[in-house]
Amino acid sequence: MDWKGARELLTWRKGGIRRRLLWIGLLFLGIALLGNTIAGTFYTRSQIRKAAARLQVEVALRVANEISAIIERKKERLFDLAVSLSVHRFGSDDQRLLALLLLKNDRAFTELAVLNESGMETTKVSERRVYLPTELADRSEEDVFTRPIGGSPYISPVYTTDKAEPYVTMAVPINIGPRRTEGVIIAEVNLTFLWQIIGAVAFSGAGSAYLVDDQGNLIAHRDPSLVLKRTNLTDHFKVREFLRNPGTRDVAPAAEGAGIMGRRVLSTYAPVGALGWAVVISEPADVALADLNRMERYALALLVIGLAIGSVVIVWAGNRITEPIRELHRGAQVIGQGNLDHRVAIRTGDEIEELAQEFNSMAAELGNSYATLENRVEQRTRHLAALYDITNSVNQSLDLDPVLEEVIKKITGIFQFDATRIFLFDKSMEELSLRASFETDPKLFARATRFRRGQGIIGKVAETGESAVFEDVLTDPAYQALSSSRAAKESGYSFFAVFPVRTKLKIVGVVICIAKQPRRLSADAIQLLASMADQIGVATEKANLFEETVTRAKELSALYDVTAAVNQSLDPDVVLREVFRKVLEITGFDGTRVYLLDPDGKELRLRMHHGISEEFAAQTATDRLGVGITGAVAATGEPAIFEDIQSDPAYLAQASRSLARQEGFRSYVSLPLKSKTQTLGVINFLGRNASRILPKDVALLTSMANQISVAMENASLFEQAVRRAREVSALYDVTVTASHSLDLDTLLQAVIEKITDIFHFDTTRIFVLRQETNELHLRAHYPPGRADVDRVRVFRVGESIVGKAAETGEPIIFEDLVSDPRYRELSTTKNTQTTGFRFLAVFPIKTKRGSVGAILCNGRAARRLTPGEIQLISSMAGQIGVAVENAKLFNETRMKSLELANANRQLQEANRAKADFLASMSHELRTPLNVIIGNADLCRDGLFGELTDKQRDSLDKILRYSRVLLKLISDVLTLTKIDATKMSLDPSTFEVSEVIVHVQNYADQLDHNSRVRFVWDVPPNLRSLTTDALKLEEILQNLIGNAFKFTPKGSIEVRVRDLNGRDRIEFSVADTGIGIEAVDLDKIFEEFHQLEDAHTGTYSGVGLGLSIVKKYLELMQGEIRVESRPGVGTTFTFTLPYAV
Amino acid sequence: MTPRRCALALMGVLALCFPPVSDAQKVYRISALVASDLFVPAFEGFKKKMTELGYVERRNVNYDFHNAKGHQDTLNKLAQKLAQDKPDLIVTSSTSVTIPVAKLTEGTNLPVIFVSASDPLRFVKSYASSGNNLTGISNSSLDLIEKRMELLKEFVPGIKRVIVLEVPSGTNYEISHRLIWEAGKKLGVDLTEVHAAGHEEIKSKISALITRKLGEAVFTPPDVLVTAAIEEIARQAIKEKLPLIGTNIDTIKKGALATYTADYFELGQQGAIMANKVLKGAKPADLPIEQPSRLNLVINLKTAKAIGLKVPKEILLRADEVIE
Repeated sequence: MDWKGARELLTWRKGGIRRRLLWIGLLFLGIALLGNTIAGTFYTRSQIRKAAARLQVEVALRVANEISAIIERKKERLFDLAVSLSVHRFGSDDQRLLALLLLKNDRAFTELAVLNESGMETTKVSERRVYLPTELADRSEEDVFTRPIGGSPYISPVYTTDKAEPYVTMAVPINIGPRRTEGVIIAEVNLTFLWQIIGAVAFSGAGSAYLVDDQGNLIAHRDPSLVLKRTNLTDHFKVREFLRNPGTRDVAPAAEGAGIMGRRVLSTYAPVGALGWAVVISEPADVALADLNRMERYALALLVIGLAIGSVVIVWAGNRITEPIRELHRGAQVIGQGNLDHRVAIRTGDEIEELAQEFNSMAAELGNSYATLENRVEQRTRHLAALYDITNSVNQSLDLDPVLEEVIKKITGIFQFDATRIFLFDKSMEELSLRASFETDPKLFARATRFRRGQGIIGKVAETGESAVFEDVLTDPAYQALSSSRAAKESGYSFFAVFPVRTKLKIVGVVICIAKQPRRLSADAIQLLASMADQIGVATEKANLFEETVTRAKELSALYDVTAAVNQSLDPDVVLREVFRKVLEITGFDGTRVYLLDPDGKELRLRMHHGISEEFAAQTATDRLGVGITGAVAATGEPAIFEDIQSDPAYLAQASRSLARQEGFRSYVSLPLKSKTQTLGVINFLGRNASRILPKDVALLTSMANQISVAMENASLFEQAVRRAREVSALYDVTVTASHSLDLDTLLQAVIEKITDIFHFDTTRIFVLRQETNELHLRAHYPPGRADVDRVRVFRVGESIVGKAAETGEPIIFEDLVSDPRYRELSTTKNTQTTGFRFLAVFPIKTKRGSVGAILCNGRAARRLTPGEIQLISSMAGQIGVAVENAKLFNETRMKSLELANANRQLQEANRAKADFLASMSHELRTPLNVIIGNADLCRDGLFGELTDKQRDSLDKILRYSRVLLKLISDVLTLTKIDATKMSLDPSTFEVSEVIVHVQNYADQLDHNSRVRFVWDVPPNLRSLTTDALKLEEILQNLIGNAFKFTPKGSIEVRVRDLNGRDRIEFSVADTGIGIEAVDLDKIFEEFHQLEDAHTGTYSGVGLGLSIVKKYLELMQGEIRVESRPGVGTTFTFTLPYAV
Repeated sequence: MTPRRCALALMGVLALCFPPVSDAQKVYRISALVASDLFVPAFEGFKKKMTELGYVERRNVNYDFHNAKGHQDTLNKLAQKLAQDKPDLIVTSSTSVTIPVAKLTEGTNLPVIFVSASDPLRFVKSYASSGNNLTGISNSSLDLIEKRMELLKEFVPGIKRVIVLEVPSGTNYEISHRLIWEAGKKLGVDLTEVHAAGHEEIKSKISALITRKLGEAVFTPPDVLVTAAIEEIARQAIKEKLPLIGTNIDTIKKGALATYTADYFELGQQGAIMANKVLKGAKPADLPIEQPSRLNLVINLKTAKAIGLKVPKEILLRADEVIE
């Protein structure tokens, strides 16, 4: 089998015979092999498991016995030593030497002690330690003595030293004779020697033995580190089992369970004699049963190999069966691909060979059928190719003639006719004319090249659209009946066929096929010829459409050019020239004229012309509205159209002078030029040839006319916009100029120059009202140097034209004062006229308060101001009015400001002088006053000799009033400092209680004769205050002093309160004094304010205390309020922030 | 499934049935540092046991052996070199070597096995677990000080005054000094301490250090700086007819009278077993500190004769090794 064959072999199709054979074979083979493997494995597994368990039990038992024997030997050595010792005295050197020799000879013994019958140590030796006689101990109470002294040896539980090695203590009796025990030997036995025995046990490198004590603690293992770490093995399932059965002597059967680290193990244990220990054999289950696993792997491998061999055999057998089938399949594929000559060669002699023969027969039959079909298809293909070529030709060309040539060529090529001719209708659709033909014999060329609709067979076919085919005209009676000319017959032809050429809507011609010999056409051939005729129809329709499209495109292009000209230019002449050029280019007209209606709308004037003589133009330069054709079109807005004015009676009836006819023009179209709201004029189109004017021609010309209208309207709008912009700009200039300066003369001069320039006046003057005299005075004139004009400089209001305009507030305009009688009537000076001006206009300058002046404008020539100009000058006059007002207000304001500044300066000087005076006066007064108080005080205290009662009273008065005076002066000084802003805060942090204590002292001094009762409501634990402590004290003293002064009897309550959440503290001083009238409450904080009663002398003071309080509080960010009722009392309450 | 896939699956199953055996073998690097010649037998024992355990030199293990020859400076430099080399395992001899190596490898996972440390608690947490990257075997030398003093008293029963030759800069000086004085006090012996700065000074001043004027016998502590000069000390002791108690078997071979000691060769072998576990993945902290498997009484009869000392019969009976 070659490589390709091998690949095919490996190409598996879904449901293939080979594949099914393989899978079924493999399935049965697999089941058989698998069953065999499972059964074998199951049996072997149980055998191996039993063997492993048996082996473990044997090993455990052997090791346990060995350890038990060794321990017994150790015990026996001690018994041997006991015998030796018994012959020596307790505590003798001989006993010591024997003990030491045992230590030397058996390294398991690390320490030995010999006890006498009292339990007292007499000798003690150790491998590492030195025991002095003084260190020997009494051990009579210990198990190591009491048990052996009774006659039986003793082995202690396992214990470890600080070095972590396992030990037991053995003790045996020292017997003298069979019944007498004289002492005891106690020995420390290091069990590390057991490690070697246990360590020798190994299973497959992973299993091992453990020696555990009755607590599950490890005594020996091949890994000493586990022992030294005092590992407890109760996690091991067999150790747990051992611990559950204390004292057991039975070997446990091997079983699987969780080992030390949770790993699955196969394990057993064997107790070690009567020691209470056990040897545990533990082997990882996977290692113990490694052979089993290996065996299972081998079995699996055998299974796989068996399956593989089975597969190969099945594939081989499958190939033997399927090869002929594949051969048959290949043969069928070759035949199916078209090779009908192929034959399948199978010689198996069975059903597959018969099947192959069937295939071969079938291929032969198919080959025969296919040959016949091929001829028909070829012929049909040729027809279709011809039709395709024609269709292609139709699609590729817009020119009809090549298409007709192609059709004739194809018909001749396929059918070999002797003549093929194509007739098409002319524009009138009444006559068919020969458009293309092919003749084999030029002599026989068609004599008839034109047919009328319905005439003869050809005309009938063209009319009815029914094809006519005559196989032999000589014998066909139908031909005889239909033919009118019998041309075909007479020309010697026999075959004659006519096919209509159609478009979608109509029949546009015919195709004629002629042959000398009779011929019979198949239905397919007739169909083909009809289709070709249809293609001619399509080509004809396309050619017509193309022609129409070209014409339309030209018209649109012309219209576009005109529209572009309209959009690009605001000059109507440019647009008219473009329209003229285009119209003459695309239409048959030779001349055009455009008339525009006068502004008064009565006369039409020739604006532009083209293609007509100047003479003719001059003759027709104007037309009146409603007269003649042009006048009628302008009047009615309806077009007038004449195809030939030479012969059209309607023209003669309408035309006024028939000048166009005389000029030789024949066609004539007159169209109105209209804007949205009105008729602008008329356009005429004149042609020297008569022509048919179709509605689409009229539409095109109307579009042109509309574009002219648009251009006219645009020009008009542009002109208006320019004019308006100029006016707005002028007004803006004047407004800007008027608002730029507050100096009236400068401003008026600038404005007057602008007005003169903008409106082209020759002179302009501005008069401004002087209210004191009610006169209008000349304030500005332009241009300068016109002394004659400026001669009259003052008008009274109401006097002359200027005065009248100012008085009435209405402008007075004389377009031509020479002819206007009103001028003479109104003017008192006649100054304008005498200075040579003809135009005069006066505009009042108005404000809200009335006229404040007038503008006088003059021109040399008479002129007419448009309403817009009048409006504009009036607006400018309004702006001048605003400027005049502003200038006036500015002057007034400036004067007021100067006055106020002067007054302010004087006030400041006075204030400073007052403050200086008060400060110096207070200072100068305080010094001598202190001298007075000091000396009076000394005098009163008797320093200058004994005083009489009267003298003392007098001195008391001097002192009291001097102190009052001193307080007054101090207050004045304080206020002066505050006013002069020389006072500042001196903040510090302090407790409120500190200030209150000072204030209480002050109150005690004040009320030394207990006239009133003081109540202090100061809560404890108030927060510290950060402000000016001295000023706070002074405020409180002032308020308390004030309360004391106005409270003849009763009480004064001082209260302090924390304003929770506001971060402020509140102080209040409430008295039960005389109270304050409501009207006075607003004034009590004013300087030098005193209550009515205070002036009577009842209550001394000058009224500065509260003023100082208020000013201090302002400095300290405090707030004060007062509540009072006359006769009931007054409460002053003020608040302060906790920190300034 | 295509035949190709079947074949691949078949090969996969067979591969699972017979997993491949890796034959790549690592070559271990083991660095060893001993304090002096006295500990060379320990390293020899180590190597021998390693060979028995399957670590054949130049096949799967390479040794980098260093001997500080009793010089502390050399020892420190060599310790630094070992730590920088980062071998697979470091083997040290005594406490004096192990202390610098322990410091230099602290916090790393570089395993260190000491094979004859007299005072392992200087660098491990406890005998059950070092708690770090060290493990090894105690030589119990400090434990045996008392027994050695007792041995001296057994040699010279009426002895009153004993010279103790010490190097205060030695690693074990403080603890050995304390234990020697405790033993002397317990056994009723007056001790005379003589100092030297190192074994060079011992050599140069030996005649001044060891004289009969100072005592009736000489006792040496387990200190490499002292044992490095054991030949000079023994020579002088013999010259002065003074019994000299050594610290290990090598000191007896070099002229000291007798001692109790572990067999350093055996300690090395014990260390190799631990090294095997470490190289197979065990952590040093999981391997408890081990004790010597046996202790020997060694006597040099030549020395006894040279100093005119009659060895008591009891001692001879007990001796494990007698050098004649």
